[in-house]
Amino acid sequence: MAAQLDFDEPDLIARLARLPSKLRVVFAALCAERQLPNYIQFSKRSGWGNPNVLKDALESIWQDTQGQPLTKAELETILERCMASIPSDEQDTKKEPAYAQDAAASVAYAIGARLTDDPKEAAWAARRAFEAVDYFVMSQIDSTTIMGEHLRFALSQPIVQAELRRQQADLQDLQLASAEKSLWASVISKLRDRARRDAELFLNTAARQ
Amino acid sequence: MPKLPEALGTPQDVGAVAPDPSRIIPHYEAGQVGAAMQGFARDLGASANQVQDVQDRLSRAAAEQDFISKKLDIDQQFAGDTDYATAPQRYRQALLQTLNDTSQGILGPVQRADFQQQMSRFTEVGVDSILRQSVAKARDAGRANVTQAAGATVSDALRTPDEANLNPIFNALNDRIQASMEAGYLSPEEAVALRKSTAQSYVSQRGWRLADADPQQAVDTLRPSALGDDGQPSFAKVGDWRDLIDPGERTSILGRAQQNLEAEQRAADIEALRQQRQQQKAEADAGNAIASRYVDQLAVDPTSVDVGALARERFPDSQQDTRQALLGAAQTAIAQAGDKTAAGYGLGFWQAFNRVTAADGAPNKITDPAELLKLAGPEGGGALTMQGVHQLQRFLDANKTVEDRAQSAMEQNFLRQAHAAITGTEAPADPASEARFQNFLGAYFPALQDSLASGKSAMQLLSAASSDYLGKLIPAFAPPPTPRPDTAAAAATSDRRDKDIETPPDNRSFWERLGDRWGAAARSWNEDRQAQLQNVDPVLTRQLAPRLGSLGEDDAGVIIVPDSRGILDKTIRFDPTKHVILGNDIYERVPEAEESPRLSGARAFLGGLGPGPLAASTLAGGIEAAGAGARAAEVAGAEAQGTRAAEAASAGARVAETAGAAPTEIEVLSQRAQQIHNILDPIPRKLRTTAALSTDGPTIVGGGAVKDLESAQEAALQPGEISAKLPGARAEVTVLTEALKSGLRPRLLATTRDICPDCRRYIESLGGRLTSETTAIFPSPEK
Repeated sequence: MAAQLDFDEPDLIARLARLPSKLRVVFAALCAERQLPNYIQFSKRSGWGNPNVLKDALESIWQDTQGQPLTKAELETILERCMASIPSDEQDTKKEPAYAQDAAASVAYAIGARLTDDPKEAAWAARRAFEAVDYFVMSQIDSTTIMGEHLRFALSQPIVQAELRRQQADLQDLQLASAEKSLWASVISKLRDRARRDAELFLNTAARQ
Repeated sequence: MPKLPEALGTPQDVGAVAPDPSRIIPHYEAGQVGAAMQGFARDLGASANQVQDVQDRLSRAAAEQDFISKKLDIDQQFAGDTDYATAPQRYRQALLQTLNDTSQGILGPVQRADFQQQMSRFTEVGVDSILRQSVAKARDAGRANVTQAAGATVSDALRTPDEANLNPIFNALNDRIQASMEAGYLSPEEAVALRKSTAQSYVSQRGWRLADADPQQAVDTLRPSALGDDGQPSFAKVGDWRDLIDPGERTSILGRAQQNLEAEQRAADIEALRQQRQQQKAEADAGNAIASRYVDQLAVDPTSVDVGALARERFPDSQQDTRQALLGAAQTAIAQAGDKTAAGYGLGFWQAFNRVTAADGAPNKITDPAELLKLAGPEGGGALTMQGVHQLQRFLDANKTVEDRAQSAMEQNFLRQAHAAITGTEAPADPASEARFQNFLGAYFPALQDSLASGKSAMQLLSAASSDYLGKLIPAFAPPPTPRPDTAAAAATSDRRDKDIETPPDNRSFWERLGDRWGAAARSWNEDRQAQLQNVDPVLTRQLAPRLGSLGEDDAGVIIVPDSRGILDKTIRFDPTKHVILGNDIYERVPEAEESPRLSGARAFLGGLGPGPLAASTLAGGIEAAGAGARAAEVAGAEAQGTRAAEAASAGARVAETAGAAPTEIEVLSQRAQQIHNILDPIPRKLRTTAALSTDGPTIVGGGAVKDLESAQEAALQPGEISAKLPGARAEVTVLTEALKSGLRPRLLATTRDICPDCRRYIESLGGRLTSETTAIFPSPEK
C-alpha cells in the first residue's frame, strides 16, 4: 500500500525551484486545469462570475508555454481579469463559492508564476487544489468544531490522497522532461490532457455538494 | 604666391611658350629645361588615362557595395523560404540578376569583367550556403512532420474501437518513418527510437485511459501474473499491447485504477446513503408534519382532537413509531384534560430540554420528535405535557438556517441561566425548585410568543442589554433569600433556642446572588482551564509544588501576596515562567507537573490566560512577552500587506515598543487573528476573513464567509484555542454562534477585515459594542 502523502509546501517549493521557469508555470496550470470545472459549476448555479475569463486565461498560458509567448503587459491584463473573477467575502451569491475561489486563485497563481518566476506562486496553485479537496472532506464531518483527528482523517481520505498523488506525478513528469531537454511541447500537451481528464473527478466532487 | 617646384628652375629659365591649338602637347626644343617640360607633358597624358581608371574603380566599388547590400536583402528573403527544393536555384538566379544589374554601372570592361568574376565566386559561396540551409531545414521539417504523424497515429489508435484497425494505423506510420529515413530526415537509430517511443506512448496512454474510464477492466487487464520473492509484481507476456508497458508504469496505472475503483465505490456508497437518507428524511418529515399538527392542537385544547381521525392518518411505513407515540401522547393528554396537576410543561421538562439541546453525538441526545411524544405518553410517566412537547419541538426544529441555530443557541443559553438562577443548578433540581422554574416558563413562553408576534426579534428579547430583555422575569421566581453564612453561624451558636430568628434581608442584587451561586463551579472550571493554558497538571501542581501565596494585583500588574498557607514572607512579582496560577493560589512551577516543558510562560501569555485577574494585559511577566507580542505583531503586519487588522496590529506593536508596556488584550487577540489569517496564501488572505473571539473559556477562531478555517490554519491553533465551523456564514457569526452553542460568554472579538453592518447588528444584538472597525467587546452582565 502506498505511503500516505501530505501537502508539504516547503518541499514542494524547493522541488519547483529546481525546475525551469516554464515547467513551473505548467505545474501551476495543471493544478488550475483540474479545478476549472468547479468554477464553471459555481458560476452556473449562482449566476456569478465568467468562466470564459478563466478558460481563456488558461488557454493563453498553455499557448505561452508551447511557443507563443505572451508579453508582460498581456499577462498583467489577463491576471487583472482573473482577479476580478474570484469570488470573495463581499459577494452574496447564496451558493458556496469556496471551490470556485480555489479554482480561480490557482489560475491567477499560474499567471503569477509566469510573471514572477517565483516557485512559491506555483506551489500556491497546488495548495489551492489540495485545500479544495481537503475542505470537501472536512465539510462532510458532522461537527461544528475541528479537532486534530478530523484533520488526520481528512488527509487520509482517497480523494485527498488522489490529488496529492496527481501533483507528485506531474512534478515527476516535469522533472523528467527537464532532464531530457527535448520534446517539452509533447510532454506539456500530454500532461494537460491528463489534467483535463482528472478534472472530471473534481467536477463530480463539487457537484455532490 | 605659388612657386614652381625648384627642380624646374626659375621662370626666367623656362622662357615663354606660345599657345598652339594644333598640338596637344607643346613641343619645342628648349634645352635642359625644355626637355624637362616635355617629360612633364608626357606624364600629364598618362594621368588622363589614370583618371578614367580611377573612375572605373570607383564605379566598381560602388557596384560591390550595392551588390552586397542587395545580396543581404536576398539572404533575408530566402531565410524564411520554405520551398526548400527550389530555393537554391531561385537564390542563384536572384543573385546573378543582381550581379548583372549592379555591374552595369562599371564602364571599364576590364573592371567590369573583374567585378563579375570576383562576385560570381561570392555568389557561389552564397548559393552553397543556401543549399546547405535548405537541406537542413528540409530535414528538420521532415523530422517534425514524421514526429507529428507519430502523435496523430497514437491519437488515432486510441480512438479506434476496433483492434483490427491498429495494424494498418501503425503500419502507415512505419512506412512514413521508413520513407523519412530514406530521405535522410531521420537516422536509422532515430527511426527505431521513434517507432519505439510511439508504441510506448500508445500503450501508456491506453493504460492510463483505461484506468480512468473503466477502472475495473483496467485492474482485470493489467493485474500482475505473479508476485516475486521480493514482493515485486511480475507480468507474463500475453502477446498484445500490455507487453509493451513498462512494468513500473503498469504498476502505477494499476494503482490509479484501484484508487479510482475505490473512489467510484465510495461515491456509489455515498450516493446510496444519500438517497437512503433523503428517503428517510422525506418520510420522517411527512410523519412529523402530521404529528406537529396534532401537537399544536393538543397543546391548546386536547379535547378538541378527534383521536379516531388521528388513528386513520396515513403515516409512512417507517414512521409507525411516531404514529404510536402520538396516539399514546394524545390519549394521555385527553385523559388528563382538566387535571391541574398535569398542567405546565411536565416534571421532566428540564431533563428533556437538556437532552434535546445536548451536544451532537451525546449518548442520550433526543433528535427524534417521537422520543418527545413518548415522554408525553403512557410510557413517559408524565415527564412531559403536550405543551412541553410543543416547546421542545421548537428546539428540535431549529437547525434549518444559520439564524435559527444562532437564535436557538441564544435561547438555550438564556434558559440555562434562568434555570441556574431559579433552581441554583443547571442540572435537574429538587421538585420545589423545578416547580418554580415551571412557573417561570409559564410566564416566559407566552411572553416570548407574544413579543415575537408583535414584531420584536429574539435578539431583543434574549439580550441582556436590551430593554425588552425577558430575563427581567427571572427574579420573581428566584428562591427566597437564605441566611448568610455569618448570620447562620451566629444563629447556630446563639444561646437562644428559638431558631426562628428574623433573617436579615438579602440586599444583594439578583446578579450578585447569581454570581455567588455560580462562583464555585466557575472557579473549579477556571482552574482546569488555567492549568491547561499554563501546560501543567493542576493535581500534580497542588501535590508537588510549594504554594507561594495568593494572587494579587497592583498598578504594575500581578503580584504574589504572602498568606498563612504559603511559604513567601514578602510580596513578589508574578513570573509566568516560574509560577503557576490555580484559582487564587500561586504555586512554584515544578518540572514534575509540567505537561509540555517546551511551552514557555510567554507562550501561555500569547495563548491568553483567560478572563478577570488573569487577563494577559495585566500580567507583570507579560513585559517580556509584550516584546514577543510586539515582534509577532510586526511580523503579522508585514505579512498581511495592508489589511486593517495588520495596521491595527502594527500600531499596537509600535505603541507597545514605544511605551515598553504590554499590548492590551484586544491587541493580542487582533495579532493572533492576523497570525492565523496570514497562514493563508496571498489570494485567499486578501479575500477572506478570520475572526478570533475570546470567551470565558477557550478562544474561538473561525473563518468566513467563503470558507471556514483551512487545515493549515487549524493545525496552527494552540492549546486554549478551538476552531468553529459554520459553512457559508461570516467569520464573526461563525465564532459567536459557536460561543452561544457551547454556552461560552463572548468577551472580545477581533477580525482581520472591517466588520460589516450585518455583523455589527448581530454583535450589538448580543450585547456587544464595536471598539474599532475590526474589534468589539462584550461587557459582562454585571456591568
